[in-house]
Amino acid sequence: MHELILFAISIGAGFLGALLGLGGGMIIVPVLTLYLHVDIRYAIAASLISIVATSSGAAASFLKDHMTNLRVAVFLEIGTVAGAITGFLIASFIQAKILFLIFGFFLLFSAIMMFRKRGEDLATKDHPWSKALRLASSFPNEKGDRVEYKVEAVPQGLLYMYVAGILSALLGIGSGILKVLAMDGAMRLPIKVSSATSNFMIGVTATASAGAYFIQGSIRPEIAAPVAVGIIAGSWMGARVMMRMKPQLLRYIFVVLLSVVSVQMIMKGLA
Amino acid sequence: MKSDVYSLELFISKFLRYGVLLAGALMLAGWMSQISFTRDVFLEFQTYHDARLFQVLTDALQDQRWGILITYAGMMILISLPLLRVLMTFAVFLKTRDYKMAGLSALVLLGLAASLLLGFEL
Repeated sequence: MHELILFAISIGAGFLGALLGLGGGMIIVPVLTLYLHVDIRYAIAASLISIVATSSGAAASFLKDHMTNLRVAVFLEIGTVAGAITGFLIASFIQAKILFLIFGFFLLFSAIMMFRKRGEDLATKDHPWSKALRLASSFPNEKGDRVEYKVEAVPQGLLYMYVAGILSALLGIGSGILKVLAMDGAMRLPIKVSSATSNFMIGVTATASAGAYFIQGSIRPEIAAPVAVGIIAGSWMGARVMMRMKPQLLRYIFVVLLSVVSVQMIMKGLA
Repeated sequence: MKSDVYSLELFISKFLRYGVLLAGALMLAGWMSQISFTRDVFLEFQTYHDARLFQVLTDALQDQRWGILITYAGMMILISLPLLRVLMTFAVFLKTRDYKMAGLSALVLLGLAASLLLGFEL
């Protein structure tokens, strides 16, 4: 019965995640730990496998609209994969209550970031690494014309990605918020390009730690199956109704919810 | 040249979508065959205990718990999909003689392989 409840919650998490442009990890890990009392290490591992599923399933749609910068994605995956390995190592030695604290503070940070207005501030010059790797590209605007863009601050972007990789492995999340921050904040890529490229990369980042957790035996089918199947189904449904909904009100409700859960996670860490 | 890379990547991504569906179907079938409506299966996961993958698989095979094994097969397929994507991206860059990007893809692959090895060690 508990598995069916988890399955239903996972469908909801996938649905909400697709509407708000988030992975389901930020919802699933607190549900598993705070309400179903599952150890946080099992919760993180189960969440990671669902991130692999949603990202791999959606990769085609991210590429089809020609917003994804494949070269930037491959380059930054080096940072996220290295970070995920570090995160997995840290998670193997850290106490569960520290994980609750980090998770709680990250949720709080995410809630604040959801209010951030993303302004388009494109790079004016190409970084030498960008020139060497031909990272600059173009994307189609609303009229269908190609808009050229450059890529700045490539080393900083890589460093942000390393941190995103650590948090992904440590907390079982996609860290999309940090990835977008690196790409449209530091590297000053167009918003649509950074969102699409970030989503495209999430599966590889999550696999770097999900594979290690899987072999270690932390991904238990009793938890991972209802979570992954539920999130796949929920995000599929969410993607279909997304076009017909205005998620602004939903976003505000979610921010409040996120703040409450973050306090609960911090309290659990301090207990 | 660039559109070649993108059309090949698009083909790979569509292939991955079918992989996710297959993995999801296996996980659903395996989970449904062993679902319990009476007992709280999460009770045993309230505290973390070491259970190595190979040990769990061997035990499940011995006890002929096919549901668990099918679910594990689905999870294995799921985890191998992004690995396969990076491997194919590496091949595409190699084919288009973009050696710098092929080298970077190879580095990502190496990182993924290293992370799997860490799972055995820790």
